[in-house]
Amino acid sequence: MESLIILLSPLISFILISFFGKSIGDKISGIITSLAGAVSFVFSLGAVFRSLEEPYHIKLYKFLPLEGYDLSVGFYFDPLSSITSAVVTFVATLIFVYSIGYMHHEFGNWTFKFYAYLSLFLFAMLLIVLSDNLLGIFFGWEGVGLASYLLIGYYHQQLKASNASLEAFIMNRIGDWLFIFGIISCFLIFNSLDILTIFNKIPSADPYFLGLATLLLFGGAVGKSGQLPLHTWLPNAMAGPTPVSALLHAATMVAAGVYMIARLYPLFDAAPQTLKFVALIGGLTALFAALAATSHTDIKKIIAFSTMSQLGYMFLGLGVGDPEGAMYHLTTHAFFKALLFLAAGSVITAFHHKLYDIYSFGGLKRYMPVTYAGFTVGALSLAGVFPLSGFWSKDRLIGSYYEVSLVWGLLGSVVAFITAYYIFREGFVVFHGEERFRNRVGYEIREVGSEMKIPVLVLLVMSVIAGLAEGWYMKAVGGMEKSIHLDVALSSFILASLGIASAYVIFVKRIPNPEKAYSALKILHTTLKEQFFTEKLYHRVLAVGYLKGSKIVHTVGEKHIVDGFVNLLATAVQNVGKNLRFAQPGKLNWYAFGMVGGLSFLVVLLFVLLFTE
Amino acid sequence: MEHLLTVTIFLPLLTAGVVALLRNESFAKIASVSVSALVFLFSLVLFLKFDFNREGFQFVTKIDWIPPLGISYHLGLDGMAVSLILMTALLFFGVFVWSWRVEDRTVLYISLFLMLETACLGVFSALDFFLFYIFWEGMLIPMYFIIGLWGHERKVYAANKFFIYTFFGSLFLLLGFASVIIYGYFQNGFITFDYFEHLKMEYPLWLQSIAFLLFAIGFAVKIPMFPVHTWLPDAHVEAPTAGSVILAGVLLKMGTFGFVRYSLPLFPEASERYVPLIFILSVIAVIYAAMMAIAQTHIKRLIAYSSISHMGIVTLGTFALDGDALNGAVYMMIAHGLSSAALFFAAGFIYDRIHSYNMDDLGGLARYLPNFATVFMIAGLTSIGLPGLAGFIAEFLVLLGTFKKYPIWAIAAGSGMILGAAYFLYMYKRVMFEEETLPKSRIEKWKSLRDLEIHHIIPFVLILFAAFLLGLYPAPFVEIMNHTARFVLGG
Repeated sequence: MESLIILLSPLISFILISFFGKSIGDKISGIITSLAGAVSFVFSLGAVFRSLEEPYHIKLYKFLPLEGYDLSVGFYFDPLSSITSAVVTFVATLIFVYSIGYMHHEFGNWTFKFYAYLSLFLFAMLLIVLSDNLLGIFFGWEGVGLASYLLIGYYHQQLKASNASLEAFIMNRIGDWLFIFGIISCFLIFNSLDILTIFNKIPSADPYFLGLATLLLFGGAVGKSGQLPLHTWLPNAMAGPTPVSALLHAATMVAAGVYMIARLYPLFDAAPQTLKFVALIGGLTALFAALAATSHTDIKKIIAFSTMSQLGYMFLGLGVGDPEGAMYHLTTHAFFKALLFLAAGSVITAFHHKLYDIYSFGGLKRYMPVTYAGFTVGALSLAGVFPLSGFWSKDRLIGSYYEVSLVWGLLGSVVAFITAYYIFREGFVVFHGEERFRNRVGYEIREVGSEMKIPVLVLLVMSVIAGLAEGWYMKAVGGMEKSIHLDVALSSFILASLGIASAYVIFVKRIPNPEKAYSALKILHTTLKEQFFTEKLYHRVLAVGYLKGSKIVHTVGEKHIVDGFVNLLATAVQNVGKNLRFAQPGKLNWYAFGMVGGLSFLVVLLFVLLFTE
Repeated sequence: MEHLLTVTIFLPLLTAGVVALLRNESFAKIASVSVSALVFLFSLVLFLKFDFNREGFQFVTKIDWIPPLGISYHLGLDGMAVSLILMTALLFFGVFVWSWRVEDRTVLYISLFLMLETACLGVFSALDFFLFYIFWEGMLIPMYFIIGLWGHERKVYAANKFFIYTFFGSLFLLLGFASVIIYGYFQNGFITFDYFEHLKMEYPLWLQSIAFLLFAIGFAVKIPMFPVHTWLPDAHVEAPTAGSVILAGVLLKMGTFGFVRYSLPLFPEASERYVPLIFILSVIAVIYAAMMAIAQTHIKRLIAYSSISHMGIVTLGTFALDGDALNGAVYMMIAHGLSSAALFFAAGFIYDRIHSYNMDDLGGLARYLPNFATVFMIAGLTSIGLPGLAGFIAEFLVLLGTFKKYPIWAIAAGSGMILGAAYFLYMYKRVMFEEETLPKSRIEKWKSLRDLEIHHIIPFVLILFAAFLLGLYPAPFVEIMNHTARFVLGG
């Protein structure tokens, strides 16, 4: 039962801060949140060791009786779930510590709410990771949706944040709509919501319905992980504070989609058509988002697109039948993506939360050496440079692609090149070259405080060494051990180096002049930056279209047709009633009193009759 | 103990008489709060003592009333009724606490609400057609006065519209009752108004088809179903806060309750035949009303449309003729009762403080009314079916049960999940967020606003606690509701 503390600790922290946050203060709230995360991490480690020996169950109480099946609240600890839980809580705790420094300038302004939401976020994510049934996963699923809504919209006084949070919630809900019907289909196929029971019954299931059910479940993952076509909320979610972005992209939320499919992999494995579709969506998103990242200029949005692209990698990995590879990449990605975001957050902090465009920085490496080191290691790892963690996991995935089809393999390699290019474009523009911020800011640029530096350093170390654990990880989660594909590794390494080199040549050596090159390729640049205009399309057609359509139906259909007919009828009746002068407000009082009096008399009579029987 | 149900039902009416006689305002307030608390306690006792494993109605009282006509004073509860009674008692207690500050014709106001409470509790308990109809109509009159006397600008228009609509519906219901009673007379040779006697009769299909439609029109107006729903937004817009709360929380459930209690068991074959019709209207209600909701700028009108949308889920679940779906439908009656009540309380609070329901006059309130922002958000999340709160369990059960036989309808109605989130969060955003887009003068006004007071907090806390309880530990409630499903579907 002590494994329950993993879940309880962030939950208690959430409840405690929600109710008493105001009196205990913002800083203490931040510390409580971080401690809760740390406690959760420690117990997750305990669960890892225990589940490596033997997976175990914790059942709590009967939750929902359905026809022929009683659903209980329960949690299942196997190596996959407990290791994921350890990774999630580890990264989350570091981000929580970092956020104490990041939000420092807002203390005294109800900032404890921020920490309450962070705890809620972690709790919901752990619910997804540890639940032993599909409905439990859905609870966490919507829980992270809510927490992300609250956190993205944390600066709700700004129009931008309030719009972004709304968009995130609705987009997620579209996915959840499919997801819940996926769960319902599973229940109808297997007459159970218990994951292990479902796995046992797979051989006897109708493959057609199974295909449908998995497709619907995947719909949920598309929404949550920001894959095509439900992707636009993810870059816009950058409106939230940077620790939120880090949390969203590294440990919680977007990882949920990948994890859910890995967790239910036997189900997807039995539906090969769905897996092909997963691969297609993943591959397309990987390319699409990488292209968008090459042209964007927002310090956080580039990293956001990079997450989308890396998640695409993972979905492609799931689609080609390497769930362990995908999960492993998820883990390494959690470290280096959190590192990149925290480094970006440090830059934003150094500039007093005012500047976000990468072209407004430049030459920061002199002023912020730790941040610079963090960002560079994160970028190298993301680019897949040997021997950093990203290299190992990405190499494994690309190797798996090539095993299945040349098309997927080539796509993986091309995206690897683009990835190296765009992340180093950001790195070079922000940390090297001319100090473009000089004429904009009057203050000195300083490195951030230690509560922000330490998490960055820890993540830096993890991003370097996490690759060494590949063998252990695969053995633990029961994945196939694949020896390193030397040809793939070599070609990826060369592509990554080429990407970095071209970014270096263009943005440091300025051959050709990047500004001129961008303006020459303006159409291409805008197309990529605007995500092939998908966001504008959604906004104009879906959001505004739905709103306008509803308003038109309201004025025409509701007011004139449906209500108009009735009012006509009412007028006729009222004309008859006029002679009776029934509805005169002045007399209504007396009517009403008369009625009350008369009825009460009847009741007294009734009581007398009843009790004198 | 024997007459606990009777006492529970009539205690409010008795109090209404006393209050009206004494005409003392502070006595009226104290009496209403304490009596409604007592009624809530009694209904809690009923709920806890209800044995859901035992088939058949419980707490039955039967006394001959007008023997020559076969009319009796006949009460009894099944799982659905006992749950609805508990919710009704909770909401009325909330309403009386909320009305602590009412100044305008207090005595009359409180006696009308007390009368209304008796009528509402009676509708759920009556097992005699005559008695049922008295309570059913008895509900109409106090509500008419509440809207007409304490409403806003167009109160008389709205009250009349409400009255004409529901009266029109009641007429059809009356015809429906008449048709089956006359049939019973010719069949058995004696007149009876008793529910169980009629249950035994097993009407022929022609009668079922006619009577089903007559009943259905009566219930559809009350629910309200598309296309007879337009009275509801008008009534809500004009009604005072407490009136809206009871209207949305309790009165709308009468129609769906009627479907489950009368239409399904009395006309089983006809119900099956009319499934496509009800489904079309339900799904239209879910989607159409959600579209209407997002087009509104008036908070109460938006919530009213959201009610219509949710009631579409209830009728869908009722007519899926499946145990899970029916449990979900009843669960939704309770969940919607809680969420709509909380939302109308929230709207009322905004009006109390700012004297406007118009979203264009609001905005940026979250920072100045933080406690209110929290309860408003939770109320909305209950309404849009967030897991962990009551609404989700209801939606899930209805969609699951409907999906078994009618997957396309279920998926179509499930889109309410998205549309619901859209209209609620879009409203929340316009009322509570986006301070930077507002004129400075308005922010200055907001700075002096007072957050929730104790007479606001008590109703909110009770309702939201119930919403959490039903969302986190649904098993006992579903089991009680399943008592009704077994009875209705004969499983």
